Amino acid sequence: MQRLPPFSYEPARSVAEAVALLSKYGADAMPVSGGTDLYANMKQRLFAPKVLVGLRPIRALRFIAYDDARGLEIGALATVRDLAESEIVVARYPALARAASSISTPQLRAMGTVGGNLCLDTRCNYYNQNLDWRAALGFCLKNGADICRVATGSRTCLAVNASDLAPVLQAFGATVHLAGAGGERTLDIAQFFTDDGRNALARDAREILVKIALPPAQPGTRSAYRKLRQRASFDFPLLGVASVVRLDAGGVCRDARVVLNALGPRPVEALEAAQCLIGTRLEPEALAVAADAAYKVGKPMENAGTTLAYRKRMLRVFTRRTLEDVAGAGAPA
Amino acid sequence: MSVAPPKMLATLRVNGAEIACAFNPNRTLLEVLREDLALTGTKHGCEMGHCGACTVLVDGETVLSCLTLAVECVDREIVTVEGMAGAGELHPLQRAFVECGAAQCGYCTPGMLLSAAALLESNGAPRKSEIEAALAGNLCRCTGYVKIVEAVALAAERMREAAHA
Amino acid sequence: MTLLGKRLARPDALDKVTGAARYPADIVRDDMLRLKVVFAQRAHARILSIDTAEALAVPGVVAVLTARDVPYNRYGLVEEDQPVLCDGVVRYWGDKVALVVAENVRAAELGAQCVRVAYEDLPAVTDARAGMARDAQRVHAGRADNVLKHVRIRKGDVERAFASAHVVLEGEFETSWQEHAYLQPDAGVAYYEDGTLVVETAGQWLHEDRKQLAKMLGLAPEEVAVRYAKIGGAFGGREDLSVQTLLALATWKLQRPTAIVWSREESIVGHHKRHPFWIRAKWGAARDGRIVAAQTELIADGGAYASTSAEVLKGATLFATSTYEIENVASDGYAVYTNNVPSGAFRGFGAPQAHFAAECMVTRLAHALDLDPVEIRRRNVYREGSIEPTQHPLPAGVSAAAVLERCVEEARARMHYGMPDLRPRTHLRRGVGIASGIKNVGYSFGFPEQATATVELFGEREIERAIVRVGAADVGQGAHAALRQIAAETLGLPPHAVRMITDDSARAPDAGSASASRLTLMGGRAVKDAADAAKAKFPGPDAKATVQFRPPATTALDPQTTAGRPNYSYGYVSQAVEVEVDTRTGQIRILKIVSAHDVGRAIDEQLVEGQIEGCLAQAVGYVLTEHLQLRDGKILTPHFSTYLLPTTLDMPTEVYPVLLELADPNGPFGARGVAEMPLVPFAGAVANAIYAATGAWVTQLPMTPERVLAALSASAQLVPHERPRDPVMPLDQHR
Repeated sequence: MQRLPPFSYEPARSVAEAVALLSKYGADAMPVSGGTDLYANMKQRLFAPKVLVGLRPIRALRFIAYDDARGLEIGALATVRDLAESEIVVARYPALARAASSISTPQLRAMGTVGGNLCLDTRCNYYNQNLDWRAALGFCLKNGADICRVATGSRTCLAVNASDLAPVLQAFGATVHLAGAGGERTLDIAQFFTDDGRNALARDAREILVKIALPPAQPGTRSAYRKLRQRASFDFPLLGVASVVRLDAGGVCRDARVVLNALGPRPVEALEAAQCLIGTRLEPEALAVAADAAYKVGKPMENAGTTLAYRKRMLRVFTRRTLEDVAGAGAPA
Repeated sequence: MSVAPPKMLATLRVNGAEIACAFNPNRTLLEVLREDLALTGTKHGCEMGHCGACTVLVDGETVLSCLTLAVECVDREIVTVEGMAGAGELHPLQRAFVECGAAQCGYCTPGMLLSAAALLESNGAPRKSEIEAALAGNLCRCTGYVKIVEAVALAAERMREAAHA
Repeated sequence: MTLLGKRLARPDALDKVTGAARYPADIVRDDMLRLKVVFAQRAHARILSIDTAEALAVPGVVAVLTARDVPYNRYGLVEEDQPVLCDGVVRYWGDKVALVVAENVRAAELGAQCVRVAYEDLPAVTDARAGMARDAQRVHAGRADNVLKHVRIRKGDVERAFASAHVVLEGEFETSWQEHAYLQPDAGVAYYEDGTLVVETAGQWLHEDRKQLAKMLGLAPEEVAVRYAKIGGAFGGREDLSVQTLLALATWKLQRPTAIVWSREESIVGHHKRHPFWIRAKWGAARDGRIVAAQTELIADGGAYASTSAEVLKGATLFATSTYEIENVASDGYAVYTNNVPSGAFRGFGAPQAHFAAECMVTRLAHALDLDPVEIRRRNVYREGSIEPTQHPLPAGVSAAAVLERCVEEARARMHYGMPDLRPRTHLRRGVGIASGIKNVGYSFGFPEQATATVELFGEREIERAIVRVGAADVGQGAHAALRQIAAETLGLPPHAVRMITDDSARAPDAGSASASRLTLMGGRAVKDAADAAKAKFPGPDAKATVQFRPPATTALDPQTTAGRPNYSYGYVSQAVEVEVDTRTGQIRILKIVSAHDVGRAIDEQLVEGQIEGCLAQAVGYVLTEHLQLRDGKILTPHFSTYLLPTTLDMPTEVYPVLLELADPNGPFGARGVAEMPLVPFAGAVANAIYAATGAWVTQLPMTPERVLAALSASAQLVPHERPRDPVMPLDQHR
């Protein structure tokens, strides 16, 4: 039976206490909320922090609030299940509820938090393995060696952002609120992720994610999320496609975003695909052109289940289907 | 820093009983239940959150005990399969599992029962698809799920009848 | 006759729903030494040195055992070619090199990390076909080549038959490994009790485990007792010894109780798998639909050690022609040593791979002849007296035709089968596929077959209660329930008046393994006959009888003529599967399954249905999602996050087990085995359904979406008679 390495556990009762603990222990410490990703990774000895700062007792961070002026605010400790079942989210940000309900299993949705899902460690076939397995291979870029096993020429780690929520939040134009010793700062969610799977978050080790904010839902907004997976439960996305569009009263698309995920270390915004939609009535021809544009911009690697070629091919199909969802049945806000 | 952190003294509330115990912070709830409290009804199947065999209830919600620290469960209500039966009487789910042949090798059964119990707690009249969704985090390698889903439906029906009576 | 077929609660059900049932990991005690294996972690290498000094210095480490500590360091079910701990050479990734024994888990783990092994890597054989080459690197030095078994079956003259056949088709098929994924990872304890070395684990055959363990230690079998705790699934995966040797060795060596609990990853890396096969088939038929010849070459990746490869291969080679009587047969099976994970027993035992090819070939012949796929089966299916490929008549009780007809009837009632598809044509296509299968019940080809049971009766004037002793493993299938039901029925007792003693090699006689779908028939007959014999002595001071049941003898094949009587009983199955193919993503959804079986006599209907439903879930995984991937001998998918078992949401919502009760002449009350049957034709049924839906042939398992898409692209290039006339029409439109 695989077990956790030794560590000491410091529960934080407030954001200030969490930040103070993280500052105190520096690189020796990691914050943990639901633990569903971190503990599994620790059992494989991907990390062995000396101190875990437990965020779970910070009850104030478990909330989902909506206000017509400020929009949607999600506390980092709201569970994935909270998000999936939130009436306001289901009604106004349906793709977000759908993405949340597509995550893993009932147990893990009840345990895992929204903040934790955004901070998932990047994943790769060569990385999410036990210590012995990785050692026999000679490790990889993300693991202290100087070579990427996915693409030997790559200087950066290509491990995948496997969050189902990230692309949807990015498509909704979310911001991420971080608290550190110097106070709070706000990042556009696109800036929260980096291009290197080794260090894929713009979060300082002494900061914690406290809140995610989404702009108010405009009339005529529609959203959808689709996920390529091998089973109907448990699995991380092999490809995630999120789209948010806004139609005017005449049914013409005025705003559009298309975000692809599970391809590399960060979600990829398919800007050209979105451009192809604006000004159209989301006719099938427009969707096809947009799907082609998304196909061009997405660059999967041989680092997740199934083959690179298949994931690449599915980019077009899944983008098309996601756009059909927003054009058709995607519930309007 | 290489010295192991000291054991924590804590009281866990398991199946309605307060149990004083001492464990290192890196012990999972699964390990403490099985190894310290001799509650071996909770099973280890993959220890990585991939199978659901170790499912227990914490404050009424299904939780994977292999990915939960025991220290995180202090002051919370833990229910394991050993706590499902009432005084001398099986939980309706347990009875239905027996009658429907829902337990073959039985290794997934405790986790299945607790996932089902959490479902029936919030939804007394689940449709078949809702039962399947609620059990989608519990792998079974023996039954093909058919008789498990039947058993949950049967238990739900009986619990509704009992509530009416 | 009151209990037969009744849906009774299993004797172990109460313990299983209350958490009281004790599996191997549940009987570990604090005072037991803990074991940790140092695995090879390379495909093929020479061991230059093993340095245990650093490990022994870890506080709490008691010993580090290596090959030199093993008195007789070769074991195996069929051929003794596997070392308990490697001596000089490692032959696959999961080979065991050293065993760390420590006072606690943490010390054992730290110790294992400190064992220093120096290797010199050797070229690795990781492809079975390449491994057959004369100049290939030998997996086992000293052997003439890497072919561990060649099975040859000849009947008639295929060449002459092909020359005169109206249609001759050829095909290639490929299957992959399958992991048993029993939910309870390998675990166990060992200790001494009154001078006897007791090994308490989960397995499939008490007395065989005992024999192998005693031999390893140079002990008499009576000096070792094997006990089974509750067994959390097996499926053939516990036929080979895994942790048992380690427990016995360490306790014997150190004279202290020991325990081991494997992680899921250790279990996946450390035990054998279902064989990958590469199959080339050539089938010919006459204009009237008579199949006149079948020629098949089957190459199985046996992995690093023999395990049960030779026996699996015999089954696969025999079943290369499925349930059809064909006058001219030439089948050649080869099992090949490689440096991959060993392959061995898994539910179906070679039959699923062989049937995948055969059932696709039959459907292809049907289309080439413009016949209904059911009709061609009807015209060729085994009947009473049909001659097997081994030139002798089948054992009596041939029900293949009845099973096929019943399956078709159910398919018409429950599926969109035999009707035009009027739904609008979209990227989602539906189709129904039919396939049949045959699989031996019990041991084959002259392997000694017996089961023994003891029944003791108590009571004044009437029989009041009974004790049944039968060393038969309940791996979850409900063997103890079924055997109790047979005893109770025979004795006229309520089931609770029958006490079963089943899980201790010292207290229950040998009923043989929980495998080959044999326990209901074999164990059941032993129990029934012993009950009858004891009843004859009742009332009396010694109303007790031990009976060894031996079925009609089977024979090995004659090396020249290849003639023989390979089996004494068969199970027959036909399936209809309705699928939906997403032609844009290649994703397959299985909508409905009809699985029709001749079970001879259902001892307990619920148990029989449970076997069928559960086996179908393994079949769905085998065909669609379970993809054990190896590269250079290394398992890339050693977790349940990458080796994907079907969940509730991946199973069809409609599964119909259909039971026919056409008695087997040997079975107790006519019962036959059923446990493996649903896996046998399933891959072929799905392939046929995909073809019916799309006109594409998927010839590789698992049928991953990318493979389905590739098949869809290739289908455009098929010759016209190979394509359904209208791909959206179900099979019957071809009439």
